[in-house]
Amino acid sequence: MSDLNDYPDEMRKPRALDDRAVEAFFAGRNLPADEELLGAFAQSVRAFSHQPAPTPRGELAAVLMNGLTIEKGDLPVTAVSNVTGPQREASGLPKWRRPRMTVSALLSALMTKLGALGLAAKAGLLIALTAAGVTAAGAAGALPAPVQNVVSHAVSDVTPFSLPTTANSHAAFGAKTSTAAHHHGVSGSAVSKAAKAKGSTDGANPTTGGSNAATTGGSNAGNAASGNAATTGPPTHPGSQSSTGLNRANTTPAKGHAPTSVPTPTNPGSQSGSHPSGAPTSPGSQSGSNPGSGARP
Amino acid sequence: MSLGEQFQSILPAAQRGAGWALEALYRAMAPAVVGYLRLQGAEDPEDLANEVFLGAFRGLAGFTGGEEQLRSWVFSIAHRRIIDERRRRARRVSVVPIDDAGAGAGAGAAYRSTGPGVEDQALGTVEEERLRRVCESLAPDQRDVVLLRLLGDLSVEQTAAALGKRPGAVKALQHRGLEALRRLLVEEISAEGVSG
Repeated sequence: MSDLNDYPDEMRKPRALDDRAVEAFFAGRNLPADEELLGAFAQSVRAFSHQPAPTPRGELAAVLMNGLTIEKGDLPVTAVSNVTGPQREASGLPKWRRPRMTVSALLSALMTKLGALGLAAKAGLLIALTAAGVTAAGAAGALPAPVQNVVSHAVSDVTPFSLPTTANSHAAFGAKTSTAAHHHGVSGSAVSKAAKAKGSTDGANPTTGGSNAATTGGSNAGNAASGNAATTGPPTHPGSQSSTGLNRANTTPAKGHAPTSVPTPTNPGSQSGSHPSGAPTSPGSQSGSNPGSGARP
Repeated sequence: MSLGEQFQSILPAAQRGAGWALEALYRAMAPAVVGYLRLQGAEDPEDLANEVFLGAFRGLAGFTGGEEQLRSWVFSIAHRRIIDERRRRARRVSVVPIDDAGAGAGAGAAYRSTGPGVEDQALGTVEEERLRRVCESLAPDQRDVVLLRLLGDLSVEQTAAALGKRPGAVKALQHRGLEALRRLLVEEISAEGVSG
């Protein structure tokens, strides 16, 4: 018996969803007719999947535009927590400090490693560093001559390289000097010719040859002042020094200022006041000779 | 949107970092991911989706599997992102300007702008707001299951893996979630009938 005040629709409880209805809901299949609200909800939610993709922003936009540099060492997919981990801090050390910190970090790491080495390893490292330093100095030719030769020979015996020896260094110096002379306009051939001519002249003039002591010695002031060619040989007699000095003076650029004659040697202390120049005189020479008697060129 | 057979050629290129392949994956999955984040109440669903895809693409080289597995993986990342955001939000006091308080779906403006017309946009906004309200009324666990299964097209097992639950627990949650959903929708219709 039912009460007239009861409303059958209000009393009816909705039927529980069975598994088939649940799977149909999620799979987008047709639901029972009395579940149209759920069906409409599912359709509305799925409609989001058919919207156009939003415009990517920032870094993602750059990645989609230019591609991504994939690191091969990334962790596998299972480690999702790493993928979604905290972002790197935007702030950090100021840029000007980063290189300095890098250098100091490297140095501290190096010192830590050195400190961790054993005594033997430290000694070996020291020897190796010393050997490397000596070799480098040898390669630069900066060692003392005996050491340089030893290092050079040792290196050439052990390795296919050769380091400069002392002789090599001298040869190199010669080559360098030659190059420098060339660059500054010195002609080797001209020097050679001049030397040859000079040699022949010296040989022809008996007054200048060291072998002809008779003409140069004897304090012959007239001969000395005769303007003969310059003498090159060493005087064999003290008396010939004046002649040789004058001749030498005449070969210099200052020959215009050289005296024309050599004063007669006088005794020490009796030098003539008329001497225009301080040309050396032979202590044993005759005094009283006229210094101006010599032929002036 | 499914890539189907194209996926087999897109994935290797995407794993090498090719921009065109990454873009194809993004276009295929981004709408559903953004929808998931939106109905989960994300403050800026599109920005959060950007982070999700960046994280996914950076780890793509180590991925193995098919399109379903990739989809499941991307949604599991999205789910973790939304959990993180909820935690952040819980730690800070939310300050909402009075003028914006009534807008509700302000974050969806850019998304809605893709609609064809102003009227449709308005209807879309109303519908989206209604959906969000209904989803918010569900218990968080039930909402996670319902949305992952509907928008992510994930199976019970994949949903369980994404949420860190057993498949049996997911089945129970989806069952209770649909019951609650049906009740909410009926109540909503009744409320509209009374107010109308």
